Amino acid sequence: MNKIKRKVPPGVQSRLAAGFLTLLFCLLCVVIFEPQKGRALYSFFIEPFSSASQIGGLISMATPAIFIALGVSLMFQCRKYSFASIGAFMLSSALVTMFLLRGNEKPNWYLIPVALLIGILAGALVGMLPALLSYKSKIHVALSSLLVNYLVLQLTSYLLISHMQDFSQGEITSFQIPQRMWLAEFWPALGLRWGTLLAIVATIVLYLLLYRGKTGYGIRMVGASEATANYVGLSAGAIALVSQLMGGALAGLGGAIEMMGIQPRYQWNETFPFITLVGILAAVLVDYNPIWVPVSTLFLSYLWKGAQLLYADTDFPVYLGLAAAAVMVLVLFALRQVVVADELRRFGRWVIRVAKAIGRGLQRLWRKLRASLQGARAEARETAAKKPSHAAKKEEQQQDGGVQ
Amino acid sequence: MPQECLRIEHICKAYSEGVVAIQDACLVVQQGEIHGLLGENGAGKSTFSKIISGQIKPDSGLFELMGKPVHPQSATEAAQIGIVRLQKHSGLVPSLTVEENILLGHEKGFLRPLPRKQMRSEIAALLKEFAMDPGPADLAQHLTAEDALETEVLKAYYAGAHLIILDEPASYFSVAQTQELFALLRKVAAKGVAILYVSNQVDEMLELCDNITVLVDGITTKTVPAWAAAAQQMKHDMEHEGMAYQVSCPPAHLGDTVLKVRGLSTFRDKTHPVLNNVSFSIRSGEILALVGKPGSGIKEICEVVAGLVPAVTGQVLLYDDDILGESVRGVRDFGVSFLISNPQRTGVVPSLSIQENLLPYQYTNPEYRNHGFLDKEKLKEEADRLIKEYDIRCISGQENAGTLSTSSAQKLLAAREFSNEPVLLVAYQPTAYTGDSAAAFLKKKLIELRDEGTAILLVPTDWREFSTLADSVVVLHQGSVAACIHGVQGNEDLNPYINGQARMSNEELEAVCFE
Amino acid sequence: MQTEMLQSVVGSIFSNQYLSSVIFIGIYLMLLSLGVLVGRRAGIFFLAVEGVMSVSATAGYYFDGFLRAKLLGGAQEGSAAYEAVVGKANTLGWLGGVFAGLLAGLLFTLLFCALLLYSRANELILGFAMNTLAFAISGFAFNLADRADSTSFVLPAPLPAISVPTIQEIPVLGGLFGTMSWSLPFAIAAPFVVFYLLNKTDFGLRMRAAQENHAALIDAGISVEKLQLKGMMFAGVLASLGGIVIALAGQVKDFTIMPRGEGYLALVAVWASAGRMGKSMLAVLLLALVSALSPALAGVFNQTPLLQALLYVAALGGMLLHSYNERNRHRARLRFQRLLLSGEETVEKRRLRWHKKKK
Repeated sequence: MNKIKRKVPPGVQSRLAAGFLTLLFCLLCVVIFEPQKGRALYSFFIEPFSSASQIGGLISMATPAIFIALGVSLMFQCRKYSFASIGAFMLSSALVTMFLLRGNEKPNWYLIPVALLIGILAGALVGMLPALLSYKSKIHVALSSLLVNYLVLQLTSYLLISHMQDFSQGEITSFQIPQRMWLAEFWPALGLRWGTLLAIVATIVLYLLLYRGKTGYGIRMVGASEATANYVGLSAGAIALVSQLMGGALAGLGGAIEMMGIQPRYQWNETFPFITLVGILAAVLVDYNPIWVPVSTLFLSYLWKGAQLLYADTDFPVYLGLAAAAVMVLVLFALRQVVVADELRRFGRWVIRVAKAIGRGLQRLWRKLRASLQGARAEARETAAKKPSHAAKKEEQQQDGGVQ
Repeated sequence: MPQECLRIEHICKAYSEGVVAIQDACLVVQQGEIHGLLGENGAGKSTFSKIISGQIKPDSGLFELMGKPVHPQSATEAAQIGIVRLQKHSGLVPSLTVEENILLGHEKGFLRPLPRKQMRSEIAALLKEFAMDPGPADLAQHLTAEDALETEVLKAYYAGAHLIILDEPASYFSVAQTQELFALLRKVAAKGVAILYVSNQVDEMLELCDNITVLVDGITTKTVPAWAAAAQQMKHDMEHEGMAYQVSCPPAHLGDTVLKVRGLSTFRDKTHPVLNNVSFSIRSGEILALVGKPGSGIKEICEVVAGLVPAVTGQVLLYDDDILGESVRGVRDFGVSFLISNPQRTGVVPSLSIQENLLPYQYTNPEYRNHGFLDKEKLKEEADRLIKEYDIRCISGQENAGTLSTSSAQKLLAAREFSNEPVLLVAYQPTAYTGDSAAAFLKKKLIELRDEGTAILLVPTDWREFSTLADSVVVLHQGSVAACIHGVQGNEDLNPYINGQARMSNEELEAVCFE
Repeated sequence: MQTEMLQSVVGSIFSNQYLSSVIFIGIYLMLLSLGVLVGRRAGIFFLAVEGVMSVSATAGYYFDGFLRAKLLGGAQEGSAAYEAVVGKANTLGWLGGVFAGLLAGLLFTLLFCALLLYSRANELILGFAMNTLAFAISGFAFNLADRADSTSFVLPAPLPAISVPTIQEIPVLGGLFGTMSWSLPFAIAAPFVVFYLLNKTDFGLRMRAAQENHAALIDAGISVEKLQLKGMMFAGVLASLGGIVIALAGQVKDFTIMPRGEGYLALVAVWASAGRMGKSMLAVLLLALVSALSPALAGVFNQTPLLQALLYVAALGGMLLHSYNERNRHRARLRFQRLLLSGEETVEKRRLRWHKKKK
């Protein structure tokens, strides 16, 4: 019994509760603000799973977010709250787009690795900037990373508008990256590309790195207590730098993969792309444990996809998905407080009791109904034949057993 | 007839792992009385005073203030009903003046302007009445530690406290400063405020207090009036039955000089040096004890040698390599181990497992890796070996270190540092927070290490440890070396040096230190 | 060619348009950084100021528009029915907008504080999540208003302008200050109010303790959390006022819901000046000067993103400068201590020199 309990990671219940409350929040939003309720509820909750291509689209959409969340896990486990993943993602996707759009004559075996490399390097660069500022000059890393993000946002806008804008499109967007440069599909039925497989590999590698490697030990030690890490002779500053470099590089890789088949036009953003925000929040949801990152990312992507479909269908605000992701994190924080958690548990127990009561009522109703049905059938049988068949009798017995 | 201020009967407090900190404590303090709470380190004095000030909730017992039962849930609530416990670190706001600090607790309008003039005259009168050194407009950050403490006492008095608890305040001060503090405390007590003075110094207590309660192993054994008490008897009373664990120490075999410290100076703040031109050396196979009051710079020496704190000038030579200015990692690479931290603060990380806390050197050692990954089996084996050897009480090495008792955490720290085969070991109060058997075990380990040729810089936890372990001693007073003696027997009287009443001449010191 | 360009650059910098946009940006940045400053005094890194700002701006803007639409009742502009109600609709509209903005900002701050102080969430992650939520709420409101018809949403009424005839007659200043929004006098008063509150009242004293040493509060029997909550509520009011100014004091047509990191800039202004009020106001002014460049020079350069990037470069530069100063101070201190030890310098000598210098 104990063993089974220990296999469930701590806090799974609170996460499930947070997920449930978030879905409830979305339901309420839709019910309050949408006149066509039935259709809206269908497209938000069910349509993302309605076909193989929808599910595939959902997973593809989550792929870059997984990379971002992995990078964030690495940095936040080290307690370096840098939000540079956002900038890393934007710069890398803009540069990769520019590179691929200009590589018309070059062969694929050259283009794809170099594009991935450019993504990683650009991401690492952006991740490194706030890290270096805080290491060398003790500048607040969260604040400087956010400023760097805004800086990158403006720089990428400049790159897009003056170097790769496709004026034939209605919105501000780049030319489409030629299809031959996209990553190949490894599961055509779902439309999944090799990037998704790479995300899974990265998840496993990062898990091993954090929990089975020397670097990961250092990162976790620095995160748990920088003073102690310093005390036992780990160079806390260097470890922090490495974690932020890798965090940025992973986000950059995500940006490159996004451009190579998932979102083949670089689009202008008035502010940070949602996928990056979703990635960061997904990492927060699982306490930065890489092995659970895909789960939370997929859940948040589902909310996001549902909101997109809802928007396409009924013009309902697409921001619902993002709001839901933030609400989930906040609910999780609130559940840590004992009072709130207790109230919720009491509420949960009440819900279960009510559900049981309703179930019992329904059961009683069903029994009555069946008894009257059986009575009617028996009457009918009596009138039809004098002897009931053996098979029918057996069936009846089975039904009785099933209910009781 | 003075009224009763505080009455505590049969208080009991057990921590989560079944360690009973306070078994049965009773205390009665009258108004206007200075009451002493005397006990050895680890007797539960701090826990008891924290219970009184609401920081820890007792499991059972009676708690009355001014004749009414009270149940403070936090230190804030205790302060609201008039119990103030002055912390070991200053409770003043550095950027405010003395008068503003004193006024902080005084209830006034929320958004009303401060009546500056009235305030100043009132506080100035108060300071004058109690003959305080600082003026009302002095900034708190410029006060000396003793003036700051006195200001805090005055702040509590001004806010109308019934009971002020001072937890080992005088250990940081010189004799003259202590006298000033005592004079202030007597004046405050004369106004009808009860004072509970917690310390392990019998002489101080006899001088200051009206009544003294002795606390041994979480039980208050007796309360005596100070005039009827004798110093030797009190010292005997506060000792518990720990004498069974005698550790004998064979004479040392000295080798080459391992550590040379020359002209070391550091600063506490901008203008106050905490170490002033300190020099000494340690040879291999020697235990050098560093003795002095807390605040005299003994901890700072350990931290500077370990590379945790930068020094302003000086040299720290390890076999003629200057390790001053190296990072902690660099120092550790030279073969220096150190046990300086407090297990609850920086030593043990509660959110990591016991194994991860125990083996930081193995985790970074390539020998413990298998195809680039950490070798789980080997690490576990090593951890289990150490856990068994040092008797760290836990379910398994994979548990969170937060579940360990302080005693086990201290043993974990010792296991981590001692097993590293150090050239030089810096041990700052290595047996603090441990019981007698564990302390005896750790002392034996230290002797073993010494006999293997490790040079040990020891800051002894108590006098018994000093007398068993020390081969040589350096006494510090206010940041400079007051005495340096080789070949100590353990029964020398160092008190004059520690209190600053005596001092070896520079020639004498040079003769001993620069051999 | 180059001189022509230079002329047009100089011309657009010394134009009324540039100066008035500096004033506008300066006002809201100042209100935000006062909020951050009060938060800092309460011992909290107010990363959620961005969220508070955008929520209050959104609430003010859309409630104003919504109320105005309700009052106008879909009347066409220019019709008699429109003329009859427009005055009342405008007044009630902006009043309602201010009220709704304050309320929303305060609620948002309260949520932040509740999670921070009582659930002990990490203030940076919590701040980030709150900002994301605020951004989503703004976008949500924007989309909802987008698909609403004119009976449920119209362009909101801006804060009314006050015209001072005597100032209007002065040549240059007249154009600038002659017709100013009500936000300007408020904004000029705000630093003085905050200064008074933080330095001259009992509350201010306690807030200092909340920033520097919680033990002082505990010894005095004051609940730290409650005090921090009070302080943060005040900070929330200031940040919400900043948001309302963004939404309703400028050109309401130009208002976009997308935050450009104004809250973070306010944080920079306060942190780069180590919480000093005068210095942070100066930093705000500098940031406003840089920030107003991009709309002013938009006609000259067509690379607006690069001009906007300048703002963030300036902010990062400010923070670097601050840390550089700190490091220099540390070095000077080390040098002084070495001299002290060698006996070449004493504390008294130094004090004497200081006094001479001052004279």
